[in-house]
Amino acid sequence: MTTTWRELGYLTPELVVLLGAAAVLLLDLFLPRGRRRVLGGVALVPLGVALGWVLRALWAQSGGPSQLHKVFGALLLRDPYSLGFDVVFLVAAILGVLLSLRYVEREALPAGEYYALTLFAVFGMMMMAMSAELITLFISYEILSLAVYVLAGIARGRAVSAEASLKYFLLGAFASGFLVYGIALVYGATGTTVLYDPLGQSASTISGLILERGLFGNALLLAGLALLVVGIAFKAAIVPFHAWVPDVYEGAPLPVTAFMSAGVKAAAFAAFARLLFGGFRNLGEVWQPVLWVLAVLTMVLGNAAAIRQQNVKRMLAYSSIAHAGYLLVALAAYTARDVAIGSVLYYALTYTAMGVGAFAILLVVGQEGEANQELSDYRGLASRHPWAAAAMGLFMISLAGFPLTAGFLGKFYILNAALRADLDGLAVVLGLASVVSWYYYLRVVWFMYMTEVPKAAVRPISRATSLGVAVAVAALLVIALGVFPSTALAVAQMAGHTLLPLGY
Amino acid sequence: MLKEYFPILLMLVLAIGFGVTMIFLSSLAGRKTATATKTAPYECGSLPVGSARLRFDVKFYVVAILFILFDVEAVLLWPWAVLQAQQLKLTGLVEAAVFVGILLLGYLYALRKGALEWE
Repeated sequence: MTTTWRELGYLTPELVVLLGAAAVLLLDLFLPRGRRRVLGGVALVPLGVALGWVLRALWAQSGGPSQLHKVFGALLLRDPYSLGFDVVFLVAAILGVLLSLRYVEREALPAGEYYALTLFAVFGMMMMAMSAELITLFISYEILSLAVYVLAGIARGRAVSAEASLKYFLLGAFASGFLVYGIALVYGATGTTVLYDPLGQSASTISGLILERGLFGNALLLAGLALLVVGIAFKAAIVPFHAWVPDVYEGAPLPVTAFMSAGVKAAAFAAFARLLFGGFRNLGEVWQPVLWVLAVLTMVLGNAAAIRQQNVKRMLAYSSIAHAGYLLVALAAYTARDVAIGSVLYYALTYTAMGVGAFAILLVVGQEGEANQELSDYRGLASRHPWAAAAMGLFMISLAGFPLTAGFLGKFYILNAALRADLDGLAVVLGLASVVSWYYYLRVVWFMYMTEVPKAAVRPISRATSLGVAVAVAALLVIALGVFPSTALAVAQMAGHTLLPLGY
Repeated sequence: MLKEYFPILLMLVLAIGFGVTMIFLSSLAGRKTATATKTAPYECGSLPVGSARLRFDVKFYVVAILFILFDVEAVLLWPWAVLQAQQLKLTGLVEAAVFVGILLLGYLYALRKGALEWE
């Protein structure tokens, strides 16, 4: 019993979020309809508490030796790696809730279900980053997915939202099937579902058994690994498993899209890195070329498709695919894993800040029923609303990867990892893809600053305080991570090292 | 090991072969007189009333989902009840209480949202 309590203590942030979700659902039942707007504020409390706990835990370990705890056998791992990703999820969720406060009210969405599902999704993400065992990974993946399927379709009155939810659900069910099939094959080949043991105490793990039995060319194991990669690549929106992304991102309510593009992608990459660098580290020669091809496809297709979009929301959806490609480059750099994993974490955090920030500006400019999302709606924004235009400009140049912004350093560290792993070709593709992306990011800036509209055509913008706070926080993060990266980067590297074998 | 399954395969082939042969033979040798009464569809001997493609009230769907949820609860609690006194002790009691508590929240949710009201 005492062990159980201590192990539950390691799960404090997860449990806080879970209890918060239950509290929101219960409150929703007993609040009169008119007072349900407080639920968003209630949802912020557990997220804030969890973020505080996680930051304190990371702070206590920076500089000193990192602490690793196995929870429930070795099903979950409480290590700096999972704590680092928890920061990303919680920041994405807090910004997402801030974006939702006004939107949920304006579009008359069911507030209780909306915030409770957001919290459940965050819980799934946090468990996914901790999972060191395949079945646990699958359950976390499903907790996350089911919540997000419903969130995508929560604006029931709008046909595109229902369509997005159905598409996401059907394709997502396929992806879950791939994942389970992969788990079954890997279990068939090795006889275990535990990925690896970071403390080196047990050899009967997937990574240990591959070495011990020499399963390097085992067809069953390789087929299982391929299916696992497909299942996770779907959630991470990697080409050619990306077909759902544009429609779902465009159809889902805007705050949900912002939360999804940052949080779900980060969760998928958290599990991806743990799977490949932890469980299948001894098969690196096998999966590295696969990731190489996927990364090139994702970067090229994401950027090429984004160029042609006239709708800013859809443009950001394709750009989010391109950013998944950049993250894949870091995963492919497995021979330089001491820097690669840290750069994934750092980039996930920077993408959360700039991506969610850009979606926040879409909400500021957009009007009821998701109107005003065309590029032409940004005509002359700078002269009418200079602050909104300045913030959008900052997020755009950060997404494009210009110096002194978070996006530049994020890309820089990924390139650094790629070059150290002798992936020169991939580094060149990443550089060229970024240059291509300047076109569509800077086009938004050009519309805002270089064009004018007649006074009569000027449209109002949303001036909700919560939106302003979200934009300010995101902008500050983008600047802070771009100008003073050392603390965040040191923590990311320290977190990344916990995935490496002992004595690496 | 596969050898032991051979009789089953044999049985399968024989059964399918016998069925197919009989249907084929009867269609070959049988007399066919199709009258209007004979070709009409029937349900349990009585005359069919309207199309089978009816719309069902969506309320049935909610009730069915709730039934499955609370049915599974009973399925899990049964082995727990058998083992509780002898082996699970206090930990088992606490865990079952947490489990039932979560389901109780779900029940409360369904109740307050009006999922159990028929009209």
